[in-house]
Amino acid sequence: MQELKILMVDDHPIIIEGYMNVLMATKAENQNLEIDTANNCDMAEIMINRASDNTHYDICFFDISLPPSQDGRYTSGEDLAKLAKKMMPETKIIILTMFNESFRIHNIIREINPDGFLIKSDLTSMELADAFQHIVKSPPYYSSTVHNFVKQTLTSEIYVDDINRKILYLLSQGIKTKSLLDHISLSMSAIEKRKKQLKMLFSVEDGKDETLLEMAKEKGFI
Amino acid sequence: MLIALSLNLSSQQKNVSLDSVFELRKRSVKETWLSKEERISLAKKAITISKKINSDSTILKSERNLSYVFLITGEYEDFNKSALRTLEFATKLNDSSAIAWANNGLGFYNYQIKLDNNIAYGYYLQALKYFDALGNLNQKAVVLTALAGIQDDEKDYLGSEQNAIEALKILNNLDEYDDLYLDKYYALNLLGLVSLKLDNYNQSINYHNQAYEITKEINGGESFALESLNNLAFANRKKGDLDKSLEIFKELISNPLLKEDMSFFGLVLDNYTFTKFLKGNYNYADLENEFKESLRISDSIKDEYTNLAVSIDLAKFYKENTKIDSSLKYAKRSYNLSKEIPINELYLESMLILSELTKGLEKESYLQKYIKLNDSLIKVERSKRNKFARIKFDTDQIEAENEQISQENFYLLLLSGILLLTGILVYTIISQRAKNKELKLVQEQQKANEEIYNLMLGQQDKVEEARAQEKIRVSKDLHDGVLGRLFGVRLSLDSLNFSDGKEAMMNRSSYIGQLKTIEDDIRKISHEMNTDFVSGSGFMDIVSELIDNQTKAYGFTYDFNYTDDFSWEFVPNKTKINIYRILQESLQNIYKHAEAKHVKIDILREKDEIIIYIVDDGKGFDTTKSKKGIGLKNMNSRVKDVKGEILFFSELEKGTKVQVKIPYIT
Repeated sequence: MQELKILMVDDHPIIIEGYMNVLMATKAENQNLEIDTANNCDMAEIMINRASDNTHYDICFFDISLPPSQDGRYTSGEDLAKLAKKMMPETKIIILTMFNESFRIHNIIREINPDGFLIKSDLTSMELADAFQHIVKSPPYYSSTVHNFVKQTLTSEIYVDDINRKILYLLSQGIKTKSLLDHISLSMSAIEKRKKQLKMLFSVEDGKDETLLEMAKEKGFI
Repeated sequence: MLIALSLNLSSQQKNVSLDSVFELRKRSVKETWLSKEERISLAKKAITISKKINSDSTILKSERNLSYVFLITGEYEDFNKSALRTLEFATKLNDSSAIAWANNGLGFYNYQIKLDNNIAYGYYLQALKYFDALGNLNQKAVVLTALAGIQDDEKDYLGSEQNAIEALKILNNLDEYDDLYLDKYYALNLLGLVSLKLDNYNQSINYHNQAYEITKEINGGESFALESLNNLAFANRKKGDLDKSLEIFKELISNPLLKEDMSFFGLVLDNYTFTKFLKGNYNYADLENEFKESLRISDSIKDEYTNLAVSIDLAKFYKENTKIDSSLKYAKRSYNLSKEIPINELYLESMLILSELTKGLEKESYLQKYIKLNDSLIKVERSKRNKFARIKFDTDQIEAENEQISQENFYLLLLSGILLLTGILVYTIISQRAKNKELKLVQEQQKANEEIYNLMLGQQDKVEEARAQEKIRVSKDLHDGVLGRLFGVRLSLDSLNFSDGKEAMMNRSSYIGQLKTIEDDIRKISHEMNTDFVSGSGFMDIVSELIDNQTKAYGFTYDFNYTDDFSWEFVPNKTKINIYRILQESLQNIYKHAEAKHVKIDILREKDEIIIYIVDDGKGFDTTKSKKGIGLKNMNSRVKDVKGEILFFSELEKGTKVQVKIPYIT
């Protein structure tokens, strides 16, 4: 009998219910799943800390956008994933998120390097079941969007550093250049310089932000 | 090309014609061997061609040439007509040289040929004026001499002397020219004659001496010398220096040249004889013979003048020698002759002699005639002298009047010019000022517009940002909430495929219920998006923002009420910006001076007025004293700018109420 202790964190109970439904319906005969759930960062933190003292979780499911913890130390699934990795290094991390932007995907891979990375919009119950079994046996498993992204950036000749990725991302979110200051700890002139570099990099000829975003999207950076 | 060629051709033709005009004029004057008629016809031809060339100055010159040809050929009547035409034409062309010469010619014609001294005098005066203006001194002197001659004839001796002296002065200062000495001689001779008539014997002798000396310088001046000597002797005789007179006469009579002019010889012989008679101590028979000889000469050449002179002298001679009958005979003869010619002096003298020679009624009749004639002559003389003076005076006066009129005209022109200039200047200044004012107004308007647009733009930015944020919020709502839950439901429904039976059916219906709530959520979000959550960037929003920001910064609380009765978008920007600034200013004043905790601001409508109340709970001020602060002044001027009024109500320690009324114009 394979005992698997699992933590699922998502702010929507219905989603957790969905996961559970799928996993329970599709688990192997010899698998016994013990599932904890949390709807926010605080609860998740408590669960992780408690588990690290007792039986470690085998697998953790994290949503990315979550209500932050009261003390503000944890603001997203990323933070929780880091914590889990730190407390229980052998725990397999699965990220399930609605975000499908390259920037976010890139960051998550870099920061967490999860054993499973699933984009919710891609996901069907069959895939979830397959992914779960795959990760249990031989991680990692990336859903198709993530897989494509990784393939693209690996083959891309353009190197874009994290800050520039962030700038591109923020711009793509419709944030104005002057408001970038609120999100990036750089001076205005530094930001302008970086934007200029980006425009050169993506060979934007008309100097418009719009064209830059278009090109970046085409190359899979957004 | 063709036109240029034809022009060239015509100018060439013109030159050819011009050359022929010059040639004709020259020939008409110089070719003295031609007959009079031929020369005149040459000159006339020159005029005809000149008229073809159609150059005024050429026509005038040809006309002058014709006059000159008439003059030198002795066709005086034609000369007169031609000179008159020339004068008219020259006046039209304003050619002063031609005018001067034409006047001079006409003066000569009237003086020497027509013997009309009055008309001649007028022409000479004109000639004098023009020669003077032209600076032709030589000709001026000649004309002056001519004028003096006329005045002498008309017994205006003083005037004559004056003009002759002036002429002489001019001549003495001139460089030598052809007829200088002749001109000088005429002037000096005339002066000698006039001086004698004015009884200035020594002066007369002096002038005649000078004249005589001058004759030596004149080519062929011998005849002039003879004349001069005769005059000199005569002057000496008049002076009473009979010896000197006799000496000169004796020399004169022995000059063989004298006999070439028998008329003059007769006269000189008579003068010589009469002088000898005056000297006394003479041989009666010799003198009688000499008188008779003179008489015979004058008779033979029918020289009435000399005849008259000799007759009267003889009458005197016989009378002196008590040959009454002979004396009477010659006195009567001189009486008749002098009456005929007439020479009034000699006529009078004859009458005087006759009255002395006769007796009774005859004597009385002669005397009476004498007195009557003498009286009338004196009157005539006086009136003539006056007339000449008057001609000159009239001319002078007309000239002076002309000058005055032209001066007046000049001043009038100057004045109207200045007035016109001033008018233009004033008009320019006024219109410029009006334009400036207009420009300033437009500028102010633009400034107000700019300010309000800036404010609105700022507000617009805020609205935009709020919109953007709202968009993000909605997107996040959709993304995290709705999508997440849909995903959950989808996943759960999907997983139900793994099981069936009653439980699965129940589950399915519960998820379908979930879908329904998600529908509701989506409807809600859609509804939120539909209603514009920001009421806009209207003027009142800007004002609200201002009040909010200012009071926050100054640290007091506020109430702000406003009515929606205004259509702010139709209120002029100038009014709006002034309201904005007034509020800003008063909030600043409250902060600076009032130490208030709370401010209440109301913007209300009363009929067609915008009423603004700004009430604070500060320490107040004395409204009668503090009118001069810059803040209050600014507010005052802003209110005045939009034709409104502002009132301050304040009580110490009780706060201040500011009331602003501005006309609501849309």
